Amino acid sequence: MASIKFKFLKSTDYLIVLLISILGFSSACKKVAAEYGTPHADYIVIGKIESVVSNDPIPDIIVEMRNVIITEGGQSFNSLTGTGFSNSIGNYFVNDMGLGVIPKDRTYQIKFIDTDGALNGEYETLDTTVVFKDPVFTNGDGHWYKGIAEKELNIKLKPKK
Amino acid sequence: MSVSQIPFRKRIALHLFSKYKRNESKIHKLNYIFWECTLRCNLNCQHCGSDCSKDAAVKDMPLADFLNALDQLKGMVDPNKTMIVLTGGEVLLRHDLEEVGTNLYERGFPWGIVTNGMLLNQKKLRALVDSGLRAVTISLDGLEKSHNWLRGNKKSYQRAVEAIQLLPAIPDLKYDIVTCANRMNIGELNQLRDLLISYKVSNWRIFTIFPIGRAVNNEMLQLTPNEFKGLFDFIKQTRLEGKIKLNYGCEGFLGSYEGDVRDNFFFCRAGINVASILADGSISACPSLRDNFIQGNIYKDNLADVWNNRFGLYRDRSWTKTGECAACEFYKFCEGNGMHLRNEKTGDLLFCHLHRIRKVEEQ
Repeated sequence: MASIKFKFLKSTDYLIVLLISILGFSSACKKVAAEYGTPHADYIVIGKIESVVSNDPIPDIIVEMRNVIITEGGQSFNSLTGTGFSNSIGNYFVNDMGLGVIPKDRTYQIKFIDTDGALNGEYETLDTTVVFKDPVFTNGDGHWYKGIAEKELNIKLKPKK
Repeated sequence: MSVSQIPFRKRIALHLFSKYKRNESKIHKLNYIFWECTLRCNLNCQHCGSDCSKDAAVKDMPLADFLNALDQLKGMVDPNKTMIVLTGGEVLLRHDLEEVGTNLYERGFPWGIVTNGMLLNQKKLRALVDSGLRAVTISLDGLEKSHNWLRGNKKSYQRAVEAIQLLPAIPDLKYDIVTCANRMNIGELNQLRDLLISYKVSNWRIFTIFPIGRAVNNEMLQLTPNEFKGLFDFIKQTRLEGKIKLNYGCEGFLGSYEGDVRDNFFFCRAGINVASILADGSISACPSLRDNFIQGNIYKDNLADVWNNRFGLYRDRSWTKTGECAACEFYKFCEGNGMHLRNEKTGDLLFCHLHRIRKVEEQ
């Protein structure tokens, strides 16, 4: 029961963070752990979002990035670690904003959500997964906490029926 | 524009943020732990909130005792997402810091230190980095005269500056400089900013000195209302220029300045995400919270139990809605200011940031 309550609270928090970001205060909820700074590598997913029907780019799609964690007991859970939007030509990027997480191999659930109604067309939500296996970090020095690992993920969204 | 006139968009965001804060209080996730690892100090600061001295009556806590407490959190916190910050006193007076660091690193905790820089030389810094040091905060409280005045030592400025200049050479290290604004240094913040930029410092924080410890009876430590408001205008302007990332410290709801002088909106996370182990084993929220704010002691209590079952006065701040706060239109956004700005015995408010800024506007 407590677990469901915490999940609800966390989900509400993510939504609030998103809304506050839309209002222009993207760092308003910044966690205290960053007060002195901790080293972390950047895990970035970039790509283009297009319509599966017309191949036209789709702007203003919300992209959520969730770090999928498998516990020692085999239990899977995820936490929202980054959000982004597609721009006017359908390009997007999301960056894991989490701090200092080990190990360097990571799995992310990437979710594409159309929230602007009929504006730009209406599309179905798409859930997919990106795996960083033995990632190569550019601008790094071989440590798990340094550099940038990047994956490209181009997707096509189906119009809502 | 008055500090009380918060633009509509920002006000909506603050309302949403107050809901976020309530949720965070309920989730109560520990991710930041201070360890007051010594009370010994090699300076004699005018503003010190600790009970430090060169030969502190309280001996340094043995590392094993701290690790024992930390190990009680196993399964409750994710070490990789839990920052350990060593504070004091002056942490570099401990001779086992490398051993401390190695033990924290092996447990997966990122760790950092807050230091006056007096004892930080290249050799020591390298040894600490090799022990897993990830973050450093160095205090620099103005140019030479004003820094040395505040720190009570004529060599302290030179040592701090030398220490700061070592940091950019360590590629993996995060660091920032923290400055206590006061009447001696308020006029030289522009020069200090330029100096830090010339040292390639990218993160700077400014605190105002709050009226506890040795700061209670020293009027030079408290900014006048005009200086106080001017400080926020300086921070806002510096942030707009973008040459150095300047933040005001983690205290005080600032009305229309919210979002302009700090990355985040005001949120005192003491006891909500932050815990402290004090030199005598007391379990508190921030190192500056003592007396009635203490929630237990690692020599009597299990740290995980204390975190999970106590800290009620931090998680529900409704008791702070008294006195000046009772009728405040911004209570929802502020919830009684930072906990360190409540009297440790009575709980009364010691200082209101908004009130101080409004004084200028009323003139």
